[in-house]
Amino acid sequence: MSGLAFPVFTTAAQLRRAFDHSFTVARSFETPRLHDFLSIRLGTEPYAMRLEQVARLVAGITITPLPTTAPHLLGIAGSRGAIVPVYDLRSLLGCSTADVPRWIVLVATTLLPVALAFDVFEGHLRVPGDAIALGPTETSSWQQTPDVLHAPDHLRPIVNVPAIIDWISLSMLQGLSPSPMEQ
Amino acid sequence: MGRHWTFGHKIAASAVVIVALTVAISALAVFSLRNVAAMNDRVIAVDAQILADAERFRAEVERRGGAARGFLLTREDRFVEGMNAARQSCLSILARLTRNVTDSSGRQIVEALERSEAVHQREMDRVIRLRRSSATIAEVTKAYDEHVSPERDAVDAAIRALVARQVQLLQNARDASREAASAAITLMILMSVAAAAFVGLVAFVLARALSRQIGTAVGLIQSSSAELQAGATQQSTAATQQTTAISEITTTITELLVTSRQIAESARRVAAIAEQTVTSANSGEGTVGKAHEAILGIRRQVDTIVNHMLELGKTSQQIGGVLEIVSELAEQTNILAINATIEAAGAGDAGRRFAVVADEIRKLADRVSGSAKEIRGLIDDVRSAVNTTVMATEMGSKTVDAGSRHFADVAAGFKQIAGLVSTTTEASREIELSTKQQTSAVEQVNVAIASVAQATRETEASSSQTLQTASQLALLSNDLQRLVKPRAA
Repeated sequence: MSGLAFPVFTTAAQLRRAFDHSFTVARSFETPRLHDFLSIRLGTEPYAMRLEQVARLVAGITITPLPTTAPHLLGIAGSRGAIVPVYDLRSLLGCSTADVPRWIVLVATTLLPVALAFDVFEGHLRVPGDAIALGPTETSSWQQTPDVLHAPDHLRPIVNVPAIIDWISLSMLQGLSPSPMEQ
Repeated sequence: MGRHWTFGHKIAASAVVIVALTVAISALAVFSLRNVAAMNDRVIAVDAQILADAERFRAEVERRGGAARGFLLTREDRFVEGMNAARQSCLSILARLTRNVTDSSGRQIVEALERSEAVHQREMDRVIRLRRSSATIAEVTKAYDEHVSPERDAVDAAIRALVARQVQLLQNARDASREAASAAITLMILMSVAAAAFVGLVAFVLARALSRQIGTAVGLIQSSSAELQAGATQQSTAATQQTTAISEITTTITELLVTSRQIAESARRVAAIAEQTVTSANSGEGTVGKAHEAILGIRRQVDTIVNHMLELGKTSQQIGGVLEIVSELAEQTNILAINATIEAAGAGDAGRRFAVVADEIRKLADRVSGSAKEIRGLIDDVRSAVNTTVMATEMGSKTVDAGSRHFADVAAGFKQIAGLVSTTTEASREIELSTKQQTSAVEQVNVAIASVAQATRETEASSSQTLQTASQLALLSNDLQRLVKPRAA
């Protein structure tokens, strides 16, 4: 049996050639505008999150619960020497699940460091602009933007991270912790 | 006529009656003829004789008179002698007449004739004596005329009276004979008419009886011939069907004969094959022993295969563990690449080159992750195949064990087969012998069937002949029926 004849080794050779080929072509800055997304899953629901709204992706980090009445606050976690509150994105978006989330993203915001936890990180998506369907801008829903991403596999609602950060900031300032669903 | 008389009896009785009538008529005719003949005979024998004697007497009287006249003329004695001879003839005639004439009137005439003749003779004798004397011729003539001639006339008168009487008697006898003949003819005609009427009556009665009985018999013959014809037709049809059936049976028996020969040949082959089978079974027993040893070797090889497969399963598990590490590394690499991309984006244009590298690293990590998933799938398939193979191999091992046990049974079976095949050989030989006997019997049956077929063909021909005969009999009965009852035909 030849080594190259086996599919795994063939795939490895293809990966090697593709990786080497990427460094052999000339750099071009004339590429069209592309948008980066993280494809995630909350429970069984697929979602997308703009990569520009994410500061870091972390897996398997330890979340330390806090004695709080806020149901969306899972606890706090340490990242690169900083303590960040970790909110459960699943409960924030109304997805009920009992599993402990494995993935968190640190939101890129200047107001306060916040991390959102979710179940599964499925991958990185780079799509052109026409793959994004924009919704009405006057919506007041903080849960998500009405934008929808036409991913190759699914239609993925795009998580409205700024609205969630605004709601968390407002709730921290007001000391309120109403349920987003109640709101 | 009896009702139960046969035709022969009836015809014989009728013939007897007719013969009796014929005999009676013939007897009557004979009697009548004899009566008439007797009457004629009597007329001829008596009356005609008397008449002839009378005429003869007349002639003798004439001859005597002539002789007397000759003597008278010549005086020669020879005339006297002639006269005496005539006289003797006359006397004998008179004696015969006296005997023949029996009635009184006739006797009187004969007696008168006898007296006148005697007187005539006496007178003639006296004249002759006169002539002998010295008397003259004249005296003699005178005496003759005076004495002889009258007596001669008296004799002639007596003769005429006698002749007249006899003529009358002849006339009477002829009339009586005619009357008797006429009566006999009338009686015969009457009897013939009666016989004819009787014969006609008998013929009518016989015809009616014969027509009735023969018609009945012919009717029975017609019905019997029709039944015989139908029976012959049915028999002919049955014979034809039987011929066809026997032909089919012959064909079947021929096929059976061929089949029996084939069975005998097959039995012989079976016996030969059974002998070969015994040899093969004996050799198979040794082969089974060798195969048992080979099975044990296979068992050992299977154990080795199971061990190797278990090792392969363990190796697959180790590969899975390594693959977990590779997957985690790919995931971490992906996370790092994404974070590097984020950092590069934050660095602006300065981080764009780094973003390209990070992007390539992320792509590589994605592909590695995908490949790791594929490898995991392959490893899962391998592990599943290994597990299946191990299970199959273990089952194979168990099967080999069972096969090993079965081989012992097979060896015993081969011995039993050898014994049974020997029995089969004997049975095949018996079958061959029985089949040959059966073939011989079938050949005999075939010959017998051929004889039966020949007999059936002859029966068919006989039936056809019977049918033809029945048809002819029917035609004959129709002809008879037409003969007996024309209107019925």
